[in-house]
Amino acid sequence: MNRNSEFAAEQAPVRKYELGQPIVRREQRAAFERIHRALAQAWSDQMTEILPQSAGIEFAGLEFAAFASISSGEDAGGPRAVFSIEPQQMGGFLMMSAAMTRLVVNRRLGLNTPREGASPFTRLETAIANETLRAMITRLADTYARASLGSIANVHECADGPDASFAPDDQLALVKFHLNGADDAMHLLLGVSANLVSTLAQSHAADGQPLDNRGAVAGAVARLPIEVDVVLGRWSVPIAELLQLRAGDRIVLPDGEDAWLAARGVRIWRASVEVTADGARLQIIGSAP
Amino acid sequence: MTSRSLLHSEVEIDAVLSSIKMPAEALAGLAAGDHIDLEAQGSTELTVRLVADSETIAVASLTLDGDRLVATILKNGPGGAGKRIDQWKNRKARTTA
Repeated sequence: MNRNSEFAAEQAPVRKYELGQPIVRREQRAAFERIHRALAQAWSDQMTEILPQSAGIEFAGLEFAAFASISSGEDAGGPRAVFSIEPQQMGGFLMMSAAMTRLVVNRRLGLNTPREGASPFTRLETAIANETLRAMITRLADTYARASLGSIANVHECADGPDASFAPDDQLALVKFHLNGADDAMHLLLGVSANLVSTLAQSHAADGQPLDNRGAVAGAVARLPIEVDVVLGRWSVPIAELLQLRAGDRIVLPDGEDAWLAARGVRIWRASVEVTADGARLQIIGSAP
Repeated sequence: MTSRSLLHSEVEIDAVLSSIKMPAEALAGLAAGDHIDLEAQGSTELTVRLVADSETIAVASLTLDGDRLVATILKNGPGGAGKRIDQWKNRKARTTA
């Protein structure tokens, strides 16, 4: 390896290929970024009275990564909240860095002599920080609703971070924001289930504009929740035998190798099912005949 | 006689491990190799429903006996006994991101 290639390797570290990453089309990614640029503007407008003059919140990038890649100490000290996105049953969180929280809290309290940045937050300051974060999540909810990305619900603060709400291998879309003109310590991190990006309707993704009526209807239909049964197997039983079934009776079930997903009795996908101690895992095999 | 022949007629039983709600687009967007993790709602144990013609006829707990799946009947009888909607997570098989 010559000196130049060594330098290139240092500049562009090789990242592990993540099998679990979602399929995200380029147009969907662009639309997702546009939505969050608009969100940054909405937050800036919302916080005009709080942020320093001419300062605003800016979109600073989008990346996809497993939840485990987020450092447990990420943004330690700042407020954090988790939420769900319905009806997709996806999760998300919003975290504000300690430095940005200190700035926001000081300005809301009208402190002319800011308290030392590294000092712990008092209960009052923590309450102010949490209220600010909740107001930002309300604006986030408005933005997502307008973009037909779903409804934000079940918002709650989590002082210890969102670890309890996500598994280490959960794939997330991580949207970064920072305060323009400030140092890197002034930032926000929004994480949502990566599959949310792939639910963006194609017509929305193509031009980034709100859908026309026809497209809106198609988008709404695409997101309609459908009740799906996971069926291990099927067998025939005489009614007489069925009538004798009693609590405590034991039945050996199909092993799950030939299971399927069905909606309203219609088989959609073939699957194999593995039952584990704390749940079950399906692997899609193919479309049902 | 009619009653006896009725008792000997057979019905098809489905063993429904779980019911989940999934956006139509997500259901259609599944592909071979995708994984779905199921988590029983509000409970630590999975149950299985025995269903005949869309009617739940019994609810059973699920245990692993060696490599066999064994259902132990908890509650039987007609009606919507024990139906619940479980949580799910989808992990795609591959990526272009």
